[in-house]
Amino acid sequence: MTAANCATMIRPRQDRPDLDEVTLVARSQDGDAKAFERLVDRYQGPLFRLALGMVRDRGWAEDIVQDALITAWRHIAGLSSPEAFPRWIYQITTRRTLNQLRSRQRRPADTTDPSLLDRDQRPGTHTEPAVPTGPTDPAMIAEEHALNDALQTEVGNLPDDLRVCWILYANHDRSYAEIGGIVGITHSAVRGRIARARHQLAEEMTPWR
Amino acid sequence: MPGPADPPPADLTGLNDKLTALITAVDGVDRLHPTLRRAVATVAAGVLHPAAPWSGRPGRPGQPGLDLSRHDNQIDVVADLGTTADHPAVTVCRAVRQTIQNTLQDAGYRPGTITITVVNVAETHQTTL
Amino acid sequence: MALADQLPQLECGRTVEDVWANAAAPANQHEQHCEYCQQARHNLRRLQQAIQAERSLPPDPQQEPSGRVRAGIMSIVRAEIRHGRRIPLEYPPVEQPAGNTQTGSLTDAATDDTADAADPELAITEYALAEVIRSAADDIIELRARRIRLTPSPQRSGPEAEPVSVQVAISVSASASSSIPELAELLRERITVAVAEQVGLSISRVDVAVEDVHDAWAS
Repeated sequence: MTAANCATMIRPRQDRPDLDEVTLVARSQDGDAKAFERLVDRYQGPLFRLALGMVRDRGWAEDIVQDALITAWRHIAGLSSPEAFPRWIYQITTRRTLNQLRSRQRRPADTTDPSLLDRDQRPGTHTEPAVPTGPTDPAMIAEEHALNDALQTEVGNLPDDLRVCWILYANHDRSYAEIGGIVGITHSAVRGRIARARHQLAEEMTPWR
Repeated sequence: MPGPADPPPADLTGLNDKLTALITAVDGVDRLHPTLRRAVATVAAGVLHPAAPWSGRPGRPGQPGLDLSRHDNQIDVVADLGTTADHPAVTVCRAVRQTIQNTLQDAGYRPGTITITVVNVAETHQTTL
Repeated sequence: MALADQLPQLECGRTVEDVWANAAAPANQHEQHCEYCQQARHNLRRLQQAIQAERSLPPDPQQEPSGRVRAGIMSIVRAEIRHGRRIPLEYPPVEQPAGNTQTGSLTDAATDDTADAADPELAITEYALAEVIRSAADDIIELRARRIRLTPSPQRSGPEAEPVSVQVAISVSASASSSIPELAELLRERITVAVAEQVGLSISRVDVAVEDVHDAWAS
């Protein structure tokens, strides 16, 4: 043991650190499967919600996310820089989703689709939050649920090209420039689509009572 | 000429099993892994087993084990090993090579090319990442 | 700008985006007297309430993928590990042809070189060796190991079996409060010891590139 060992701490083997994303991607590029697994843990939820918002079917959305992340593993060594990973994986997922929507038979609206049911009828959705983040008054909570349900329905009614931009903007906090890169359109095209999405959603939300 | 997907001749199967058992017993050997040839054969046969249970080890499709090939009285052996961290891999490989040579000679064969690749060094205590 | 990308307009000629830009502020001069803009303001406020509702509701388990996604991905990942090159664990002695002297003819030397290039019999994969090194680096709290490049020493043909040494280049992120030269030295030492003990190879040099810095508390 040299003097250097006394000056810093050696961590116990059982205690592995939370690694930053750039490190996880760099290690995945070297073939480190454990590091890639942590990327899967971080991204599968958001990517699933993106795909689900578009295809409205859990199994289909799961397949899309699985395919996208496997594709990422196979090609990650060729990624120009680890910082490009988020935009890249969103791009893979978004384009796969849009391609499948374009080529597959659209399923007819399913009246048993959980997202269309009134919240009380939906199985297993009554979860108590660990810490309440919104109002606690039951009447207000019910109103929030109803508003949210109406919003989800109307987002579902948007045409695909508007919907994907809206979801990336409203649910994934992507900038217009990022959305342009992910979808493959210009910045002004993104602005136009989000504006039209906002217009349609605002119009449709109002008759709700 | 038998292809990679064909089973080895019956007399070599017994030898293969014996070698597998002896190699696995060598100090510092964690386990055998599927070789590249076995992986290719498995994929070519359209069979994809799920990889080894999630345990932090590298995987390949295919059954773990040795590849034996015979020319006249000479046998070549290919093995992909996992070793344990408490024994230097080079020492383990030399011991495995010696075991193979001895076993082949005892069985009346001439040891040919013995190719041993360490594909994983298993930590001897549990880690989580 | 393509027709399809034009912003939607209200009857009064203003765009919804104009109304949206002013939605949080009191109605401006035009809006105070325009029923279309007032309707649009109302609608946008309703939409914003719905978006807020979406954000403040507790997470819905229906919005999480099932366990099969991760399991399916990782089983493929495991099956497709890139093992990399085989790095020799030893260089066996190169047989001199009978009757050859030390100086030998040029032709003989050329033949020997071809024989030297045969696949080493005992080897470790790049992947396995990199894992040993990465694990040793992970022991150091102030460091996060990133990429690892390995270069084995070339074989010099000779009558003796020859040990193999490996050159390592490793990039890391270092904790902001740390002393880099001290850490690099510690890293070199731990890598050299780990590889000697677990693999039996010697390390000829370790080049450490600190390419990033992270917060000390995040170590």
